[in-house]
Amino acid sequence: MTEEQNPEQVILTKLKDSFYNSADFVAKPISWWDNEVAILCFYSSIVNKADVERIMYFFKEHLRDDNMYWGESIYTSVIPLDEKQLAKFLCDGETIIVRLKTREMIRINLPEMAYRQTDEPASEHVLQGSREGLVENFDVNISLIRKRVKSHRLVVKQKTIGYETNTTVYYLYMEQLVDEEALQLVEERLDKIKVDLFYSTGQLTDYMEDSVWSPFPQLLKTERPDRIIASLHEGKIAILSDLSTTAIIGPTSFFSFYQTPDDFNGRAVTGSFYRILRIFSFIIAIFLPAFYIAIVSFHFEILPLELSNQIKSDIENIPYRPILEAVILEMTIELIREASIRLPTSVGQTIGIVGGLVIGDAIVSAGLVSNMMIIIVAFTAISSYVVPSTEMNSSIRFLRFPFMILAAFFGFIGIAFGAIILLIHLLNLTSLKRPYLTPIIPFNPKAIFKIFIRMPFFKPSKHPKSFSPNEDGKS
Amino acid sequence: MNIQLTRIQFFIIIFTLFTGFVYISIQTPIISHGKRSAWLIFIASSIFIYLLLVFYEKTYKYFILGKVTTMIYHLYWLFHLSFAVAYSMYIVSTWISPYTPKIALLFLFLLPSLYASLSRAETAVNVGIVFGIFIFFFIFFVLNAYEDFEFRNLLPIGESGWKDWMWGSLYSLNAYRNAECYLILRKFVMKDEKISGMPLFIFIFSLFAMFLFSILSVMLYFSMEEFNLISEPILYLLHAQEVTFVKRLDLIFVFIWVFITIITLINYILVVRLVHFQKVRKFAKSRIVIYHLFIFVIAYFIAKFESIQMIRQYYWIPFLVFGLLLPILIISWNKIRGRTIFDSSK
Repeated sequence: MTEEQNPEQVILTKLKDSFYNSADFVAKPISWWDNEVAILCFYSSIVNKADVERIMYFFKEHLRDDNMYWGESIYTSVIPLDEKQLAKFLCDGETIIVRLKTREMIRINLPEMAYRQTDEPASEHVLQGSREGLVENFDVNISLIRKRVKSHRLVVKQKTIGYETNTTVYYLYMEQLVDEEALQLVEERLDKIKVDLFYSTGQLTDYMEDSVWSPFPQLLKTERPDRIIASLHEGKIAILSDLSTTAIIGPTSFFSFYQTPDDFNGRAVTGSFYRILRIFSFIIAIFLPAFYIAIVSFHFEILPLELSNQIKSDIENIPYRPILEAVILEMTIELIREASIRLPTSVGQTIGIVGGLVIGDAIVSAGLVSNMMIIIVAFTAISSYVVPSTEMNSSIRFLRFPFMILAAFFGFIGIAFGAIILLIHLLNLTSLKRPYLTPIIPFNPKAIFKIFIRMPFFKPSKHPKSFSPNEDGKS
Repeated sequence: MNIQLTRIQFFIIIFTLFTGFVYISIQTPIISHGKRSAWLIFIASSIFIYLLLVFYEKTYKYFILGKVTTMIYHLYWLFHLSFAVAYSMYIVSTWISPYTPKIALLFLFLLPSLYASLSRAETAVNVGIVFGIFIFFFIFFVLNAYEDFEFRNLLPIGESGWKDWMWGSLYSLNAYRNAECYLILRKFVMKDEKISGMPLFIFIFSLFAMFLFSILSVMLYFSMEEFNLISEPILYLLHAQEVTFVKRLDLIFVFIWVFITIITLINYILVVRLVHFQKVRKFAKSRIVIYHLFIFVIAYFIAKFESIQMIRQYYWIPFLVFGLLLPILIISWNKIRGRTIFDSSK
């Protein structure tokens, strides 16, 4: 420090140094009321400068009028100077005016962070109903939810995670309806997150799930506010963050992943039909290729003679074992899928057509795989994409590989072994300590009916409950 | 180890335990010994079982296992489970996987059971719920044969002598050979759940209907002489059926039956765990692994055609000893002493 520097200059230099002279960091002296000098600081990239300017003008007006609460408003507040807090507020997009004379800081909370306009979620298309989806902004998301539930019982709470990123995570629930034990668990698990960098919903899911190594998702991810509302009214908890358009919902059951808003927006009968079809598709998606491999490898006699002869003549000239055929085709489908996701939509569709028609035809002509295997794998792929949840969809696609291997080694007995292991695993799974296979286990016949049948909305006074803690604790 | 069962969970476990292992094998001994009156003998035996379970329902609180009786039951269960696994392997080897090595089959049967037994108790309790789905498949498959049913096979019923009735009854009772499990599991049912009266009757009736359906179906399909040649008539019946999309329904049934057998094994080991870990709590997981190893070794040695056929001849004994006489003895002894499970747990 040189003798010529005044106190404002000293603080300015100190401030700029503490923010490592970032290009977008602004700290400059301004003249305040009654010839007082104050320091204005903000990040120019995340502040709504025009509104801040307007607020500052009003401040001076209020000071002139000698108002008692001149600094208090929706956007502003006055608090004692605290250097540690100062950095946090600035990083949150606030503008701070430091009054050296009174050692106060005036907070102007008018951030302007970049975010998209609300749009239809790309991964959750519906035929009927709302087209609104969540965006990467807290206020917009909560507004989308609050406009659907105009109730003071909708509670929003927040928690900051990540020592470096200071990411704000929000969790929502309906007071009096929420599963209290699950809520406590969510709060405990959020408190336990001790990381420097927090930047994705995937990270949050890893911390919140009961079994991270399970192939099955235990928390439902959605970008649809209407789905969040429906879940909140079932006593579930939704967790959102500013960083992602995805909300995490728990506790959830296996069957929740097979429901879509279309079931409820359409007619009861058709809704029920498609719901049953989707659940049936789970069995096809996992077991069909395994069954085919088991039949052609071990149990040909199970097929009627005509079909058996046809398949035999089809696979006669194929040089590889059925498992290899299936793996070649399944891997091709996975590659096509992966490529079409990474490419722009128009090119992605082209890749799909090229992959599906050209490669498919060429691979059969080359004699690498049989026509029957193409049919089986294509049918399986379609069945796996029927699942409304992308996460469950990936799990199912992954799961058919171990079943195919078991079928190739042991035939039907291998599939039975795999199926029972899968069943035990599903029975062991919990979502926020609630059984994953509810309402089949614990057995609730009335609720099972509702898994398959979409009932008409005749009794709106009664809240649907996916989880019943008292019942769950019985066994 | 402690669990709480709802009425439905209790009945599902008992249903699985009663039908799981024996369902494809009980028909032949009952029919070949009971002749044309076999179905009538089975009805009479089932009435006896109903009365027995009503008695057990009233007296289950006196069924306290001491050190000696626990040891006896443990030895019996170990042998029984090993035999069940060996028999299942024999069926699988005969019908669907003739070239799969015995050791591989043993692993396939015991690994899921080990996994479930090492998981929380709720898993073993609830795993039987899928059983219900298979019943519908089975009924649908068997009813395919209705065109070939010969109703005259059921008559006349007066030809069977007292010896036929005696042996027929002994093998019929054997269908319900895991009756002791009722007594063991009953005390874990929640206090506010009603079992006696109509719920018990409905349960026994469903069990009886399931067994009788299988006995009647095979009696209607096969002639008396054929039962001397076929040990698993349901499988042969299904083997003869052909539907549009499947030629060998028996293979599908065996596939389902493997599933059921493993579930039964899991439920049975749950019963063993409930008895064993009532007082012993140390090294629970190691003990479960060792128990599976014992089953593995015993089943490996008895999984031969000759051994299985020999054991099956004497398999009317377990119900009489372990399902009837020993429980009645234990109940009577404790009733005289005035001891109940509630005093014992204190």
